[in-house]
Amino acid sequence: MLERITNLLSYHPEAPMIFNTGEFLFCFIIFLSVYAIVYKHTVSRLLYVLGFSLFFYYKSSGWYLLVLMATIFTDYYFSLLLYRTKAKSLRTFYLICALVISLGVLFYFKYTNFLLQNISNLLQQPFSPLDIILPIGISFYTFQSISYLVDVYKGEIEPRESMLDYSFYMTFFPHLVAGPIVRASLFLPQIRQEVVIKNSDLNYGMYFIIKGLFKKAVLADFVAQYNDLIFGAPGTYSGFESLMAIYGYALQIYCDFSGYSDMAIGIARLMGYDLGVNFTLPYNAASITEFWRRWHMSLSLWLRDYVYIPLGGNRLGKWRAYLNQFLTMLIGGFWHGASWKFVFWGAMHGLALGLHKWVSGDNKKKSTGLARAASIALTFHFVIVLWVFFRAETFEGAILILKQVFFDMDLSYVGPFIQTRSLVFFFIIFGLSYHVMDNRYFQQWKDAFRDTPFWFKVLVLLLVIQGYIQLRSESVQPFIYFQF
Amino acid sequence: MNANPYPKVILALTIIFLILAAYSFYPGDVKVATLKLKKTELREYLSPASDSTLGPAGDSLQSVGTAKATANTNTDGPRILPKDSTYKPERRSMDTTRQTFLFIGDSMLEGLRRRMYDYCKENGDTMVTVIWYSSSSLWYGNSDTLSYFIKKYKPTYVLLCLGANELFIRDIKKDRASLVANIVRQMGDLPYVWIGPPNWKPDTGINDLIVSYAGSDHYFESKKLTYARSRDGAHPTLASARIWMDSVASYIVHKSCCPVKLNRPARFYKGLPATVILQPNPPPGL
Repeated sequence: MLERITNLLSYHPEAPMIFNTGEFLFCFIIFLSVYAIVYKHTVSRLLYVLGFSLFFYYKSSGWYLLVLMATIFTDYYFSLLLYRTKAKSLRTFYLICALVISLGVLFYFKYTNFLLQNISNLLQQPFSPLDIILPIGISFYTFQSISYLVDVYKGEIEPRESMLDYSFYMTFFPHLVAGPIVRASLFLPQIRQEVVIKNSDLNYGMYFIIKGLFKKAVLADFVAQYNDLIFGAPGTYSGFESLMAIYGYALQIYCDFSGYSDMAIGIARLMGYDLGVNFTLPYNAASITEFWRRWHMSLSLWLRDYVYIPLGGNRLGKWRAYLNQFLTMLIGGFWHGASWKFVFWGAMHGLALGLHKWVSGDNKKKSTGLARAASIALTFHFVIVLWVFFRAETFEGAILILKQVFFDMDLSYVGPFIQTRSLVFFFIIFGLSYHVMDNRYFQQWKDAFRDTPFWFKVLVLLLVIQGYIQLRSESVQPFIYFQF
Repeated sequence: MNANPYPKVILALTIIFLILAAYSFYPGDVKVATLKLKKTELREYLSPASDSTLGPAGDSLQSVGTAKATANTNTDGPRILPKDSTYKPERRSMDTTRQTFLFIGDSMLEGLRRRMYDYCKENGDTMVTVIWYSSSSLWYGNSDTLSYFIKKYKPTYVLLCLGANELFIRDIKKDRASLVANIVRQMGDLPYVWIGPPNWKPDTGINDLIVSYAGSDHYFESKKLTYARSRDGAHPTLASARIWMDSVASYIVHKSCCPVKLNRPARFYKGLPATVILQPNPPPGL
């Protein structure tokens, strides 16, 4: 028994704790049982949630927990220094120091091998990568802490004097490992606010948890099994099978990431906290600009406020604005991974954003009818072609897959594909058609779900979990955004 | 709402957890129409040496084959006994004629069949593949699936890859010995090689059991190789499966009972072998 408990409390690198595991369900039941007692007492609540969040991070990343704690301590003291110092030059100096430390840690873990490999390539020297493992969620919490420091520097928020409050904000477990990147201005006021849980919070929380679990554990993980086959051996499958994997990956990455965000939002809501919204039907965007307003909104807004605007935004003329947008997306691409394929991905998005801005000019009129449908289709296909570079192991692999689609398309594969992979086909069609529907239907569904008896919701949750068990592969798929 | 809302949520989640946990310990299976409800791994988590079944490597495929995997313990034919220490591995002379391979087994064939297809193309052989996802000696040994496909395709050589779904069965020798014997019996006089499971953890005896019935001249012990695994942690990646198949081919040529010409292909051929896919369901009666 003692061995089982130790096992439950220990970190297992091959099985990090994530929301769609039985282990998390078990721990969350215990967590909630104590939370129910302490949630009305502010300090107890903060201490308790902080403790659980640190445990959750330890179960996800092991002793990289210390890196997280070091970041929190450092940035907490810098934020106070920034606030208390009056001399602007000194404040700027402190800000630069804080940013260098935060970004330095991120750079070390994420980009050291990439840098060394490129230097070795230039010098034509053999390269063997250093044994550096990327701590889960480091990109997210680093960005969150940077936004906090910059906001304090700009005087937009006052830093928290309480270390407890700041640690709570940084480590709040629903968003800790894969976002959303929560702004201090949204979250800090909630920390010491009295938690009042209404029926609507329970309904809203349950709705998002079920929706997120279905998207991540049922749709994304199941389609991932097929996608992994195709992307694992690019060029060896027919054009049609490769095309289906491209559509499949479009569905997978959306359901994986937005599913995680939904679960995070739902769990936070059950606890009485609001994390905002992170996705709004991104594949229904009629332009690449609109896509980035709908996709991973917390990152898009972060890039806008902390990269694009400091670079000059659109204040320095039209062409400079295009350049700034391009550079912002380039950084966004590089943030996703230490590889040239991510840089290419970001650059293509940057170019497309500039091109769209240039073509549309000051025309803010929204297209309608067929024109809008065509724009949505064009935007969607542009986005999913670039996802191929995002997913493929190498740049060459991505090219091979696209080559298969364009030069080895044989429609005689359609029938056998539907016959043998009917569920994958159905999920792709279902998952992508979902985006075409009017947003009002979702609101109606949400309202209808809200009005169902609580036990009906529980039954739906049980069915979704069983659906996941029916369709899953041997091991739980990690969240795609864990790696970023 | 002034009342504490959490007891209701905690109760609901606890009930869900208990239902899933109870079902994982329930010895039988629950079916909804023809769909067997799978279980969580809670039982394995609490007692690691119990049964574990791999999910399909690809996806949940529909049956496109025509085989009837009927329960049949097939008592015809000679009684197969485990080989003892006096057993001498057989070694025939190399057969250089063109072969018709039946490559049959579990989801591990997803990767292996691609490279075997290269061998067939290179050496002028033909091949039919049958993948029965999630299968084990329990399924093959309790059905006539193997003999059905042998009769249907009339192969000159059988390659069987089986065992990955039963690495962790307790009392495997007691439970599965007669089933493994039945599979060996279904091979009849055909040349065959049984490709063992690519262990990702130590097994509870499946490798020893198979080799004891098939003999070391019919058994390729895959567990001795090291693999790069796909994301499910069990199936080798396609690149690794290619190397695995190269090792099997080398074994067939140099060490197996029945060597055939299998020159290593210098390139990867386009296309896939004809494949029959069986639904990941046990034979009726199990």
